[in-house]
Amino acid sequence: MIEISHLKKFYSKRLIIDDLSFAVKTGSVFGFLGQNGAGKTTTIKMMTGIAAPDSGTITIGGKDSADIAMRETIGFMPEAPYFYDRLTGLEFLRFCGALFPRHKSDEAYAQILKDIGIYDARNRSINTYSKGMKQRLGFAQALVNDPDYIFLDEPLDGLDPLGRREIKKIILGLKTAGKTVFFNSHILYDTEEICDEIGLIHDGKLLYAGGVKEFCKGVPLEQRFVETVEEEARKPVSP
Amino acid sequence: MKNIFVIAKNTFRETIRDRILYGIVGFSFLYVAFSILLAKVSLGEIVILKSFGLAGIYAFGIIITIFLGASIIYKELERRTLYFVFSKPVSRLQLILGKFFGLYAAIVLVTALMTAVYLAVIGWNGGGFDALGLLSVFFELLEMAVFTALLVFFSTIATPLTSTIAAVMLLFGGHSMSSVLRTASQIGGPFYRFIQAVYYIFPNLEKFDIRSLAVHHIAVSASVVALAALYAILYTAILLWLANFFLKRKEL
Amino acid sequence: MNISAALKRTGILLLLAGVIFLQVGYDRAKPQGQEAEAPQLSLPMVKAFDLGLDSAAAGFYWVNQVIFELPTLKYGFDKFTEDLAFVNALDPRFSFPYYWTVLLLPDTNYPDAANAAIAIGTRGVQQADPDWRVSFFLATTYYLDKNDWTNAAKYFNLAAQDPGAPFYIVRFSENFGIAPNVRERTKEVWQAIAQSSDDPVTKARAEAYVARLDMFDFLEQAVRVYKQQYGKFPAKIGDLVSGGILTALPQDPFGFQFQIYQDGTVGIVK
Repeated sequence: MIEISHLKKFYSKRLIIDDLSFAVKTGSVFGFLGQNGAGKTTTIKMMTGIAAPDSGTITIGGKDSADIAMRETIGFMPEAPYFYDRLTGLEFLRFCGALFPRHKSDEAYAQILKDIGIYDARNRSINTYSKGMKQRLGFAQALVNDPDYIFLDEPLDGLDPLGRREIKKIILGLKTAGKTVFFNSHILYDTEEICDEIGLIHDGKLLYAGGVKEFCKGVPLEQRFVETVEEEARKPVSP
Repeated sequence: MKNIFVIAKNTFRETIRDRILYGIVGFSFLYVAFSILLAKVSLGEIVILKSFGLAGIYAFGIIITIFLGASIIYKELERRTLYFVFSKPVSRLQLILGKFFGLYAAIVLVTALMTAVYLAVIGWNGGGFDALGLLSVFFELLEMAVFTALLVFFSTIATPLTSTIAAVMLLFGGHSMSSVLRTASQIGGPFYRFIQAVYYIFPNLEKFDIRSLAVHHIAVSASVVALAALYAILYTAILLWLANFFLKRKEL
Repeated sequence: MNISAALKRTGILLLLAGVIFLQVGYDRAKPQGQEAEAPQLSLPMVKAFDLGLDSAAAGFYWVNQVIFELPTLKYGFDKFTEDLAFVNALDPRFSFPYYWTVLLLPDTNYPDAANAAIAIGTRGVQQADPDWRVSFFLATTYYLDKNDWTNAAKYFNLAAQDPGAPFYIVRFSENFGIAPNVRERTKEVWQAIAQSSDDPVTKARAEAYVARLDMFDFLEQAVRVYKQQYGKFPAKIGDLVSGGILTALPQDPFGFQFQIYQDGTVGIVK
C-alpha cells in the first residue's frame, strides 16, 4: 500500500505540489495523469526518494520514503532515460542489481531482458541502442531487485504501437504477480485499459483520485480529463 | 560499503572506455619520443631525460585528471543518470566516494602505464632502476588524489568549464604558495596575515613535488613521505565531505 | 558522375599545392634577419608558472637555447653569463651547464675567458651534483690556460673521487705530475679530454692537440739528427727537408707553421 498525505513542495518559493493526498492499493495499477508540468515527475521523484517533500509524508509498504531501506522494495524507471553509454545492456543491469543488498545472477538479468525484448542487444554498448530499446532498458533496470512497488515515469513515451502493447502486457503481468504499479502519463487513451485507479493532477493540485470507470461515466477518458481541467481553470484563484 | 565499490567499479569502467583518453595517452607516448630525441641532443645526459620524463608524466596526469574529472558529477546531474542510482538504496556519500575512487583508479592506472614506460626508457639509457623517480610518481599520485577530489567537489556545484578554470587556478596557486608568502612577508600587515591564512587553508601542493630532488639522487626522509601522505588523505577527505554536503542540498 | 568526383579530387590537390607554394614563397620573401635574440626571462615569472618543474625547465632552456650560445658567444659574453646564471638559479644541482661551459669557454674569443671559466667551474664544484666532469674540466683549464699546477692537481684529485668517474680519469689523476716533462703532462691531459668527450667536436680538437704534441716530439728528434749530422741546429724548419733528414714536413692540425728555437725545441708561429 502506498499512502501520500498532505504532500507539499516548493521550488524557488513557488508551490509546485499543493497538499497532495491519495492512496494506492496493493497489487493494483495506478495511473497518475496530468498535463506536462503539472507535477507528475516531481511527485514520483519524492515517492522514490530522489527528492524530498517540504512537508507531508509518503509511506510505501509501511516504510517512510525518507528511509533508505524503503528503496530495496521499489523499482523506478525515469522519463526519457539517459544511460552510461559505454556500458553494455547487461553490464548496466548488473551494476543496478549490485546496488541492492541481495542481487541476482546473470541468468535472472538475462531473463528480464528477454521479457522486455532486448535480450539480443545485451552485449552491445548502450550508445548503439534505439530510443525504444533504451526505454525498455530503463524498464528492465526497474525490475532487477524483483520489487514489490514499481514506479514508471512515462513508460509508453517514444514507443511504437507494438512496443506500447508489449509494455502494457508487462505491466499487467506485474499486476498478476501481485506487484503494485504506479505510473505517470500524459497519453490518456492507452491508460484506460490497464489502470485500476487513476489520479489527476493539475498545477500541483489533485483533481481526482479513484476508479477509472467512475470518473469516465461512459465518456472517453481524454474528454473527461479535458473537461475537468478546464473546469478547474475557470475556478477563481485562491487569495 | 559494498555500494561504494560497485559505483567505483562502474565509474572506472566508464572512464577507461573513453576514447579521448586513448588519444591523450597516445600523445604521452609521442612525448616520450620527443624526450628521447632531446636527450640525444644533450649527449645522453640522464638528468635531462629524467627531468623531462617526470615532468611529462606530471603534465599528462594533470591533463587527464582535469579532462575526466571536471564533468564527472555534472554530467550525471545534467543527464539525470543519477535517477537510476538514487532510487535505489544508495546514499549521496556512497555515490561521491564511489565516483572518486573509480576515477582515481583510472588515473592511477594511466599514470602507472606512463611510469612503466619511463622506467624502461631510463633503464635502457643507462640510468638503472630509478627508485627515486618511482617515489616522485608516488608523490604525484598523492597530489592527483587531492586534485581529483577537488574536481569531484567542483563538479557538484559548477559547470565543467568553471570547474576546469578553478582547478587550474588552484593548481598554479598551490605550487607558488611559498614564494607568494615570502613576497607577502615583505609587505607585512593585514595583507600578510591574509596570505598566511590562504597558505594554510588552501591546498598547498608544493610538498608533492620531489622531482627536482629525485633527478639529482637526493632522497626524502620517511617522515616527509608520511606527512605528505597524511596531508593528501586529510585534504581529500575534506573535499569529498564538501562535495557530499553540496550534493545533498542539490535539487535533482 | 565519375568525372565530377575526379574533378573534386584534383581541386583539393590543387588547393593543397597552392598552400605549399605560397608557404615557400613567403619563406623566400620574408626579410632574412639575424635570428631574433630570445627575450630575457625573469626567474620569478618562470617559477610562478612552471608548477615546480624547475629541473625540467632548466634543462629545457639549457638544451634549447643557452648551449648554442657557446662556442661562438653569438649574443655576447654578458648575455651568455646572464642565461647561464638563470639556468643555474633554476636548478643549481644541474651539472651539465657548468662543465660544458668550463670546457668550451676558454676557446672563445672573449679576452678573460679562462678566468670566467674558472669562476663558473668553482661555483659548479660547490653547487652541482657530484660530477667528475665539472672538477676535471676546471682542472684542465687551470693547467692549460693558467699553468696553475697546484689547483689543477687539486681538482684532478677531486674528479677522481667521484664514484662515477671512468677508470682512465682515476688513473690519470693518480699519475698526474709524475710524467717527466710539461709536454708529456700536457699530452696526457689532452688524451684524457679526448677519451672523456662524447662530443665529437671536442674529441677531435683534443686529439688534434695530441697529434700536434706528437709532431713536436717527432720534429725535435729530427732536429737532433740534423745536429748530429751537421753539427748545428737548423736555421729554419724547412732545412730538415732540404738537409735530407725528412722527406716532408708534417702538417700542423690547426694549420700553423712550425718554428725552431735556438735551443733546438720546436714550437708554432702564432
